[in-house]
Amino acid sequence: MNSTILACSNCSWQYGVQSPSPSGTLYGGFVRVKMPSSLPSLNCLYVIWASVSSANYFYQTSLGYSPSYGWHISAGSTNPGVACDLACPPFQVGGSTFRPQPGKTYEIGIRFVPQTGGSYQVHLYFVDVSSGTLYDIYVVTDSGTMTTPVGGILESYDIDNSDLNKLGNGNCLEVVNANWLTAPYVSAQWPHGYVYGPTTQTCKQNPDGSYSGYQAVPGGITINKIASGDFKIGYQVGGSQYQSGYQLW
Amino acid sequence: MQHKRTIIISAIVAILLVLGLVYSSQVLWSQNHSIPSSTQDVSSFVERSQNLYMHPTSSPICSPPDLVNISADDFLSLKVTSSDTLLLSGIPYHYEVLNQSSGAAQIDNYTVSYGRPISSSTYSAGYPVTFSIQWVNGTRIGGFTYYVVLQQISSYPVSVIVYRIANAFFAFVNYDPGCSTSYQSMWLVAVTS
Repeated sequence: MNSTILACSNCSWQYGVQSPSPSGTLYGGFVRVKMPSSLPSLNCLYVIWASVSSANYFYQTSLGYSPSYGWHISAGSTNPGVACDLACPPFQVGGSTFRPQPGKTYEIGIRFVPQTGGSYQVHLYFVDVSSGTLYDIYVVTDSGTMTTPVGGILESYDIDNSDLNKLGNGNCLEVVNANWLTAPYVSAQWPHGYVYGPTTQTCKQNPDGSYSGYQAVPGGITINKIASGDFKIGYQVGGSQYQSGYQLW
Repeated sequence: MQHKRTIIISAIVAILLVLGLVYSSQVLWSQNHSIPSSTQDVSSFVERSQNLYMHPTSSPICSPPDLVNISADDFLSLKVTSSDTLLLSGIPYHYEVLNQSSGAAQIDNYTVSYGRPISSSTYSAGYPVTFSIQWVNGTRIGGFTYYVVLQQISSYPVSVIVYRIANAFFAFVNYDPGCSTSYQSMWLVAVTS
């Protein structure tokens, strides 16, 4: 009987684009992700997330594939108000997992809404752009303001090129808008996009069997700028595997 | 024949015993192991972090340094004076540098144990490391969770996160001068009498 070895790394790799650091008060940010025309099953986790941190906590809203959950949208945070922290289950509607659809566009983001007394209500949300429906995945409270760049980061444990090719050229994820929020419900495109990562090989096994560090981004993973705020990311999607800090636009 | 079988079984038992002892000693070592760091290494790390805090990198992707649960004055007062002693705001503490995965350490009257999930593939963006602090007699004092999140850490040229429990403090000091995802970290626990 033939068997197939499913190659997933013990550590994840991360690669993407981020905004500049905010120079004034901002209220979060988002990326709009256009789905590929077909949504294959993969061997390993493969997600793209929008992220931002306050002085206290990290927030992310993600979209992608998990071997356990299939295609899904989720979110996570180090804010203790999100009990599942960075390992949250898929978002559900009416008891069923919300399934992003091929070819459609979803806005995944984080919104800081000021509250009386100086704190913020932080919304980890997504928008089904085709229907215009906004879904709050988690809403939590934070006393801190947004302090970091907004990220649009691809993360995966997949290091099998043939598997990665399923979401490669011609069938890849495309970020079609990369915005930050200049007011809670007002957005503007990042003035610049800078490359985040690629992570390098620092993955090692610990004495207790767990792993620390990161996987090197596979050589075929590239970023292809289409326009300002618009780029394809995935296996051999054109462009290049730009290095950290490269100004994409 | 019976004698031969007895010898073989005895040999197997002996081998298993030796393997067991080796395994036990490795587990004990790993649980008690801290990153060996000279006073100079630790001191240099602290001084470099403080210098970066005072003179942070001017880069469009670097946010201002982030201090959580510690004031700038306190952080800048931190000074390593020997291989096991530091001063924070002029108060002497015994300290130990922790390895950055999992393990246990005993420092003065405290026992610290910590670990991260064995299977991390369900986590995205980062992962938790859960700390538990006990008196040496086994009575639990408290605990907390520190999250290792690359995008967060690499957004700051310097970030310092402190947790205080009883007379102990835990400091997680990270620096990444270019905010380039190539950060350096030091985890330490310190106890005052």
